[in-house]
Amino acid sequence: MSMKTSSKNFQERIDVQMQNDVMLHTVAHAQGLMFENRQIAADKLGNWEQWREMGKDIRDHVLENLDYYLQQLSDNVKKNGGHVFFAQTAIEATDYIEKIIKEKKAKKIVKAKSMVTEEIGLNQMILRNGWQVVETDLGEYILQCDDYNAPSHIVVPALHKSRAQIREIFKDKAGYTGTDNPEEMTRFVREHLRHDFLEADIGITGCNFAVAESGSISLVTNEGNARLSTTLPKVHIAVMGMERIVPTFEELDIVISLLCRSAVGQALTGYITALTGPREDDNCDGPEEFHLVIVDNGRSDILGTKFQDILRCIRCAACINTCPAYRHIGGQAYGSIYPGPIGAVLSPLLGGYDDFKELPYACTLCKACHDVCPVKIPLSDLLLKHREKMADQKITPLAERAAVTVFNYVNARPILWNTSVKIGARIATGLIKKGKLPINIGPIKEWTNTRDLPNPDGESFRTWFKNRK
Amino acid sequence: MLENKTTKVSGSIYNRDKFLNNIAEKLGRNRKYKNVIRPTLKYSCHWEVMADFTQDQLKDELIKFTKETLGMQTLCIKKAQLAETLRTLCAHYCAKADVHGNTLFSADKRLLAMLNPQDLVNAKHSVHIWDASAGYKANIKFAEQANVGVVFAEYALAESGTVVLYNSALQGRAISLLPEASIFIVLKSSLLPRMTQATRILNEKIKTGERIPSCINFISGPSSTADIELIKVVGAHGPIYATYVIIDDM
Repeated sequence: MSMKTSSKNFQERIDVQMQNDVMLHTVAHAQGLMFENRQIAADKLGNWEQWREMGKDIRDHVLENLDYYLQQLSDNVKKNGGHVFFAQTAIEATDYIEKIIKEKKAKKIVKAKSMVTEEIGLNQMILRNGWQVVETDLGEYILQCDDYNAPSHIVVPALHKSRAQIREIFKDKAGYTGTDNPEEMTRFVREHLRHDFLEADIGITGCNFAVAESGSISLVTNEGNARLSTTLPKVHIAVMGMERIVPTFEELDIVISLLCRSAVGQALTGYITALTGPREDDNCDGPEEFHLVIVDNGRSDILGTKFQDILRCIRCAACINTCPAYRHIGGQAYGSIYPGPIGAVLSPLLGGYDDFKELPYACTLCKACHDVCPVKIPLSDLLLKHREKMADQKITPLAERAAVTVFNYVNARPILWNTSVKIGARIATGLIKKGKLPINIGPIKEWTNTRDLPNPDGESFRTWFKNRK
Repeated sequence: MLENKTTKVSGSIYNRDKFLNNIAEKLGRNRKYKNVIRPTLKYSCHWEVMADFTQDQLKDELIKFTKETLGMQTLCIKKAQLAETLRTLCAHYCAKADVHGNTLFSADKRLLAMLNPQDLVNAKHSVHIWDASAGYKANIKFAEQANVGVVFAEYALAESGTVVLYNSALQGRAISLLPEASIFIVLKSSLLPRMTQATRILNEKIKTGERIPSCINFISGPSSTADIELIKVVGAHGPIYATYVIIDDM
């Protein structure tokens, strides 16, 4: 899939999504529910602000000492008999995985949900080679059956689909004949995929957090598919974003507690699995071979910049579940596997402004995301920094830059400002008829289209205020 | 399937220095090879959860949480009642198998010291005990056919209704994974407030240089999903049913 999920431009994507009533309904409903569950879980735990601060401190410490902890992690994975591959780019990562698959003469690969494998386009590489890959997370499986429909949420990828749509997808692509009851469909997938787990040669997972001191990786799941993917196949390949690491199990406790509550409102998810190297010699199940692929893919370019805070992210999606912009345009409108506030900050950093320059504007600056982030990432500040940077680099539209330049010029000169607002008030009186402007233009178009403006009385605010004294 | 190779490959690391040098450069300093002290956590709120609870209070919390939040059952029994309890539970979980039910037992010594699984065998119920020496195929075949898997948990966490499982040669990963129902046996003396205590124990092990088990699972109830319209469905790829049995050993 790679990070970019659409070739349409931003406005076209929004227009398509805003017409999609099913999506709007399911997203609004889901968002409300997840927001509420997160809040209940945080309240129940108590001292939530202290927890958040510890989460932030742990993540900051790791980022400041990332080379040290990655060295420790890789030393320990090796000591446990595992293999570590450091991949600077997406291609280096997929090339290494391709090499392993060829060496093992593997035919079938089972995958548990992982954002970073989406980011590096792992499935395209596997399919290009004619091997079979099965996405085993229910949400991912739905999207895979639907010809790799783009995900709309980083925790619940098929959030935009209704049960009726899912039933149709399973009917068309997997021979399902049952009703649209979620339980019935889930059981069907359970039976349907069980033999895939048993036949698979390789299991591929992501990594929620690696533990440097023990050389472990941890997986946070509910369905059991990640456990199956790391129990039955002979080879396990884990792919991790290079910053997803904590020093010891003590810090793992804190970040996992924050993650489960923030993501799904659970004290802990159904399975927290800590995997340390391949299986022991005297064991008979679990992988004989363990590979850890550590991916940079643009992350190091964020280190040491004003955007470094974004690397604290633990991918819980609390910001997405809180965002009013996401609620109205849905995940797919972002055109990135990372939607919502986190995606609006991260996608341009990892994927560049060419493809993602509009995303920092998909935000009302309400700052709700900042308040719910379990590791206190100032998301809306970072979005503003993107806008500043794009203005500096002259990536923003010419008209916008011209408007800002004129505004700054006038705003810095009181006499000119006063004259301008007085004239402006007169012009507005001439233009606005029955609450409508004769033309709806530019960035305010959507707003003026749908709202009645007040009837102006030809006065500027300052004049009005002066007269009231 | 791939061939069953028994030779253990030793570990390796590729492209490390270039990768880590770049990180150090971006951070505007030289590589750090040692002397990084991890800071003490600023607060101790994680230690305060149920800090003064007795084992009985932890047990009550666990029972309440599993019932109300996870929708499953936790029993607390005397050691002498274990065989009878398991007989009832296995019969219940095997009832769906029309003709014959199968239960796969962990061979964990602490579990087998409390009962002889063969005592649960009857005309409608067979028992297998995990035997790593029989190899992958044979054990996985049993696990696949079994209706119930019985395992011994190191700890249980009251706050989240969690059992902590360590894999070993005697207790394979598949026992609590492939059968439709899981039964977890845990001692009352092993109940802990939350993950904080369980991870501290792991930390201590790691500090002494001991390799921790290759697969540690914190399991909270049966598998589940909410990927369709966020409606919770219990029973996804892992077990559909689960029961915790606390042995009152105090």
